Amino acid sequence: MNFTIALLAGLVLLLPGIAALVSWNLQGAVHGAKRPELQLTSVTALFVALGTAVVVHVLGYGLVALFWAAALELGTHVTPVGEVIQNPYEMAVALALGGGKPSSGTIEAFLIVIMFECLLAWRLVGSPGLDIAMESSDVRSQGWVFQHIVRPMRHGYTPIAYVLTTASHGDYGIGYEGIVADIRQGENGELKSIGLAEPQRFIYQILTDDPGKPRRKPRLVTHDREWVGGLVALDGSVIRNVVVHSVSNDLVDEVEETPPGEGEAGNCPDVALEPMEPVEAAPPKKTRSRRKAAAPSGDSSATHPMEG
Amino acid sequence: MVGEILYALMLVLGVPALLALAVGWIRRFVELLWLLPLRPVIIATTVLALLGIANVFLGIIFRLPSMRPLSFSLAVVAVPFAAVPLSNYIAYRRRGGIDRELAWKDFIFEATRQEQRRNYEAPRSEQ
Repeated sequence: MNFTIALLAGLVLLLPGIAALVSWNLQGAVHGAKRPELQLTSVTALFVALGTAVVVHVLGYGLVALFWAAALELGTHVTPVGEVIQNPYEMAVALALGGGKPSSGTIEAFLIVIMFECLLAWRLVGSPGLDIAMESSDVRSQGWVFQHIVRPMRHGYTPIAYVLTTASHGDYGIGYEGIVADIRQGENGELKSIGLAEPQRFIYQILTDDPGKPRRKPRLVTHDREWVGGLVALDGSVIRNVVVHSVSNDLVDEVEETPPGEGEAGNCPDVALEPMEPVEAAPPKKTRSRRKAAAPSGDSSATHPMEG
Repeated sequence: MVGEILYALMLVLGVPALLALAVGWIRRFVELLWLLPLRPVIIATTVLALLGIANVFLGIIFRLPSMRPLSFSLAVVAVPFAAVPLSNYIAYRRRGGIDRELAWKDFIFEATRQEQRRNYEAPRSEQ
């Protein structure tokens, strides 16, 4: 067998493993959290592809041997129709060893067997059984995204993120709060982008001193919450930090069913899925030289920022 | 002429039918493979029982000798289609304290997911 045919034959034999890899990469899109696709050049991917191809070929060889023996037995009961088709695997081995000329029917049978093996490998990886078996394993190396977004979503929780961005003016900055709709990570697990559905936008401020209360520690306060709606996509370069809370879907449904006006922001500090009434603030004290900002809204959801 | 028409009909109808059968068989076979670690006793018992029943059935109806390649291969083709729904039904009937709202179809997967959900604790930040 010359080099070109040997190369093609090797690719054909590896095809079920490649099909399994492609199926695996497509499954990642389902979670709403994406890592870069497994490249065939990576050692892990090559090992998985080779292992899957070997397993599927062993299974395929067993089934083909069984069906060919059944076809021979059937030939003793009914009159055979068409040309004699050799066992495809035996044909492939004979061709590799340089013995014999395969018929076109045998080659077609071999290609059909490979096609069905690819379907088998695809379905093996795409089956819900794999998700159940790997439920608690972070097989995609997503890190905190798996623990706080992917896994809670799988078990009936809604991940709500509070994102503080780098867009700032003096002591004030812009932040967003909403349900995590999409999140992308780089090859090293760094946050590339995050998408928030039905977000609220707010202004945040870090208050470092309060002349009326000198012993008070610096704190983060939010103002001017505005319901934006739709989807906001934030690139990793503008994200200062991210806080993620997992809220039970039952609680989310309960809040959504509550008519507007009945649910105060103070009662549900971490669930903000409906436009919130602006929190009453203490009247600002105007001075000649400097106008002080309104009193804080006391939003507790952004007091413990996590690095994204 | 008639032979050619029959041959063409066989190609046009038979090939897609065989393809659909093969795809359906692959789906059921893979599902059986993933069900085995979740309920090994039920799946193993169901598959062996159905293989035996299929061999007896083929021996009675088609006079095929049992445990030979032809009868065994026909049984291998038929068993996944019956084993998956039958195993789910048997597990559903033996469900014990599991939520009775689950349907018997896909019961084993759904019951396992429910158990995982029950055992799952959200991260501490959950309110």
